[in-house]
Amino acid sequence: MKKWKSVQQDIEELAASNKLIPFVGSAISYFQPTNLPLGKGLLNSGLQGIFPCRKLFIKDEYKWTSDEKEIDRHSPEVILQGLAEGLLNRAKLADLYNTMSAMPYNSLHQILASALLNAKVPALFTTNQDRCIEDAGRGQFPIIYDKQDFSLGLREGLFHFHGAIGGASEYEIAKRRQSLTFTLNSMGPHLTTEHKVLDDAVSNNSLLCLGYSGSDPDIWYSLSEILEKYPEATIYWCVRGTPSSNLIRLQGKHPNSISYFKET
Amino acid sequence: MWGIEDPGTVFAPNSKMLRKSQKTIRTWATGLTQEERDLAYSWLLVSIGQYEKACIELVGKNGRGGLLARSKSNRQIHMLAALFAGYAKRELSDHNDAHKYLRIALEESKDYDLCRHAQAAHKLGESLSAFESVRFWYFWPTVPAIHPGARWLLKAIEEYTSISAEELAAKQLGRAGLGAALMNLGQLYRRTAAYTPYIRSRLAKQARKTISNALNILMDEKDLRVIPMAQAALAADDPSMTIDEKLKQIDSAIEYAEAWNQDYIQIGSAYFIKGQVLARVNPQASEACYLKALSVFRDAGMKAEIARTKIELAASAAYTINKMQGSREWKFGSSMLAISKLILCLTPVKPIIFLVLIFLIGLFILSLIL
Repeated sequence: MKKWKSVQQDIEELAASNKLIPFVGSAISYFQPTNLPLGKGLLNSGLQGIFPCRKLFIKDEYKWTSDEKEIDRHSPEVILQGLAEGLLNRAKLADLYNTMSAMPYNSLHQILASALLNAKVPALFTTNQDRCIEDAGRGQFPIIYDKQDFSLGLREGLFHFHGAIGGASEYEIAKRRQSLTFTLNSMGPHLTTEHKVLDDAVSNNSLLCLGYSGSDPDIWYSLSEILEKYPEATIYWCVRGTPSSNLIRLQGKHPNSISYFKET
Repeated sequence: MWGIEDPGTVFAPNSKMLRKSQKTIRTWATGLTQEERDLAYSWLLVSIGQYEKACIELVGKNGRGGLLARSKSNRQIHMLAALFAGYAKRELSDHNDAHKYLRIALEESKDYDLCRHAQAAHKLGESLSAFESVRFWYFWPTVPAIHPGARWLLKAIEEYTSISAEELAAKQLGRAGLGAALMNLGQLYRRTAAYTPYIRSRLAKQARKTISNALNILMDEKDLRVIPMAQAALAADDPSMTIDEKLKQIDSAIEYAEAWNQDYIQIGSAYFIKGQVLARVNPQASEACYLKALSVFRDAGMKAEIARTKIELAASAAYTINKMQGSREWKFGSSMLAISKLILCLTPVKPIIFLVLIFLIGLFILSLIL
């Protein structure tokens, strides 16, 4: 794993020439005052909400009990898939994400929104469904979250690859709700309309992944295909602690294209 | 870096702050009855392969105290509890109980919910097409009059076809939809063709056609998680593909199943198909694939799949022994053991009686040869 100092110059040069697109994941929204729990922590809270009497699966925030290896073995998307199918009203699961609508943004969201507003980055990519970057930008840049908008290609704006919550009108609230992607089936093994946007971003710019584990099959397979197509492209990946197993696999497939580094 | 003012240090939340946000998130599941929560919990267990636990939740111990008994006054919950129990029992290869619960689901959904009726018929067809249900006359799945598995699968396909895409999507259930039913039918044809080699080329062709059709429908239905597996099944039997192309497709299905789908049946089946493809070109690698499939099926307690894999392993062992160097006597003895194992897997006779019988037959043949 590289250190920030060794990639700093490359990244700063790309940023200066407006060729760097940040791709942010859930860890960005973990910091104060947003305080959103990460991955399994979020799922843990969701499961406690629907099965309050069962005290199941998880002992505390980040440690899963050893006698429930089966649950531990599965990714959040697999569990959410099962949960959605077992609910009589499966649209109800979108409410889990709507609870995030009141979370305040933090300074990282603010920096990203400012970079986009001041045309320092061509676009912003995220898999987060929360509206923190949107709120930090005070509605001054386009929010792209549904397939129709994605089909218009890469342009200035915040691209929510897995949909977004919120909305100003009844129509928009319903449209945004429809866009939420969080189960394995809805993700599938490849991005659909969104693939072209990612392709344009990697081929003509560079991605800088921040707070993102790479653990989404649709993004993973699309990135893998794109990197095979453009072997000279580079994705800079900021990692906190140990890289996820999925990121290690992706890097193993494209050792010259994925450059991961520690934040400090 | 972007000429933006340094925000200073960003702080991680403390435990009090995290508890507060968790409390907010927990409020999402309001307005659900206890029965609805129990139903969702049971299906969650089924969907992650904890079939035994799911059965206890749904039918209780000794058929008492489960959701099925508690929900008799609520037709929708009762119907779904029976369907989920049938699904779990089928995965455990407990076909008698699977049929019992699926018939309850069929009864409850009749003239009430066509989609759930189709799903119950689909699972019943799948159960009746399972390996251990196979009889000699079942080798004609293209004649539904004599093959109950194919008959129920075709009924499910007919019912799914008459349901709107929106309703199917809203009631999607793990591997139960039009694409999945066609896939099961294609797999049934494929399996039968494999058991009757060299003489069922038309059936093998029909299997490929059905699976290819299933693949397109799975795409339309957005039942995307099973697509890599369908592509692998199609590639395995495609005469126009080279071994390397087939293996590439199957390896990508294995990768997807292990890393993302995490479904026992998909992981085991992907290794099983790889074992089949490698059987004639690299028997030892094929054996390793079958062993991997066996361990996955054992973890999930899938009796039918375990039996099928054991048969392939025994057949593969008999073939591998003949290809290895060694004395004629050693080859003969080892082959006899492999063949006895193969026949043992196929017959319900007590193992010790059967082994003695095979030993005596072996001695007789050996005396004739020598």
